[in-house]
Amino acid sequence: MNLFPTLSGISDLWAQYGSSLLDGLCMTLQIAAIAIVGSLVAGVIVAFARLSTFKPVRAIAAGYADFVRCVPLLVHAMFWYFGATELLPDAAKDWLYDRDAGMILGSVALIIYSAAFVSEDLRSGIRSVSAGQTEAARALGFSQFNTFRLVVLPQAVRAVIPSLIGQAMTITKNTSITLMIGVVEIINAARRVQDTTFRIVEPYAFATLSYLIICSVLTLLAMRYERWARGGANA
Amino acid sequence: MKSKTSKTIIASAMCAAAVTIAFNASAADEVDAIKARGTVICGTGSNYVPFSFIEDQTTRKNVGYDVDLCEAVAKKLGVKAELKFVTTATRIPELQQGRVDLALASVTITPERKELISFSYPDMVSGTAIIVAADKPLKAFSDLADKRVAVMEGGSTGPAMTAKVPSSKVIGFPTPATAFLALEQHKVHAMAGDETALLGLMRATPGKYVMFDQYLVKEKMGIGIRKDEPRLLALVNETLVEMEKSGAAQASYDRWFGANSPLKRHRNFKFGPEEAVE
Repeated sequence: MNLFPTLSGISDLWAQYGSSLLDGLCMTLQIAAIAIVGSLVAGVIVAFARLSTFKPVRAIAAGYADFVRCVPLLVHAMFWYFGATELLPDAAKDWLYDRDAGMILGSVALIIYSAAFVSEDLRSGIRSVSAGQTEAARALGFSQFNTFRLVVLPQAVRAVIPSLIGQAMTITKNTSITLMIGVVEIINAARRVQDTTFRIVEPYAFATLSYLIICSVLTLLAMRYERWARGGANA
Repeated sequence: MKSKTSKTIIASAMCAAAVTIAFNASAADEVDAIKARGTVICGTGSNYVPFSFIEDQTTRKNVGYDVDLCEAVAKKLGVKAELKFVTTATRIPELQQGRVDLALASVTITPERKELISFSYPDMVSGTAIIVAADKPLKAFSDLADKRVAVMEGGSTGPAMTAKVPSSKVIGFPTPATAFLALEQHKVHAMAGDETALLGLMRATPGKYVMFDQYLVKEKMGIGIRKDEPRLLALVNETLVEMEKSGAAQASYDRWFGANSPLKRHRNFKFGPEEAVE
């Protein structure tokens, strides 16, 4: 079997399977976008909860972050797809299954998993903001929520933007876990091409290239942000 | 004089050794490797009823139709049988890369696969069938338009289903058990797969599912062997023919699919060359 690709071989493969690979890439981008936005929002909520004056709220938030990070992502995906759905009422189940249940529940699992990591990143950012900021804001009459929202969070996020971009890259790569629950994202699409044509190098090279491009865009964003943060004229 | 003679002797001895090694190297093949190792490694499913599955939870040993075939070949070769678990998607790559000697696990014989691996005489004739819940009014392929169908990812069923009913939504799962779980949870309306695999899954829930009368695809399955291993291929085929003659083939079928099993299927083929099997 000829393992190495040839130019004519690649153009033949692309003509026949190119659209299915692009569909897979679209699915990856969709899930990644939903998961990145969702985990940012959920991460901010959890980080805020950990600052709460109510001990039970702090405990729940801390417990969630610690527990969720210890459970493998695949187990999360399996739980949400096969386990949690059984608890729903029949009408909700029918509504869910009529749509792409794998994508929806895979996104949910990815959001819940990644939010724990994002909240930890934010927590380290919040700790880097000096306590004097909070004290001064409270002294000026800001409520606890407004202190967090207007004074602490913006500074914290600025401090950990590089980590968050790293999380975004991890989330993008983690979308491939959804192939275990039937979602046809880029790796699954590449695998289907491999199963039909028995070509290994070309489909996976396409998948790798796709991930590389997405992560390069994110890296460029991080670099631009760092230049802007340093306040130079090149911002 | 003395050193020249001893040099000649050493040179000839090395030549003889080289020729012996080269000759042995060219004669060494899979069969020799298996005999040297003392085991034949068979790629089977880990939970694929009734081909290879754990029947008795106390012993936790895999038994089944594929396991019987593996042990027959091992006995013929005079070695022990060793099972290595593979999936539908990995069974052929594992064979090609030499990590298993025989690919059992219901490998359908297709012309595309024949280009990559060799097949023994067919050990099972079956087809791809569809099962649906007994209380749903789905009876023919036309009823499956726009419906979700669960299949095994990486097998030949997905493309066959799309070819037959283009508007159906084929969802691939990594194992038969997860696909059946999706059917049980009403995530899909139907499940398509190897007939005997489906019967094995159905026997856990008698009366809940029905099988379509028509096959999606009628198939012969054989044991996968690496290409260019004529000795191993001949030995495996001989084993199958001997099993048929001694009645072991019928006994194994009855135990797992026929009269002595919950499936009660009738055997309508015999082990023999592919052209003779229908």
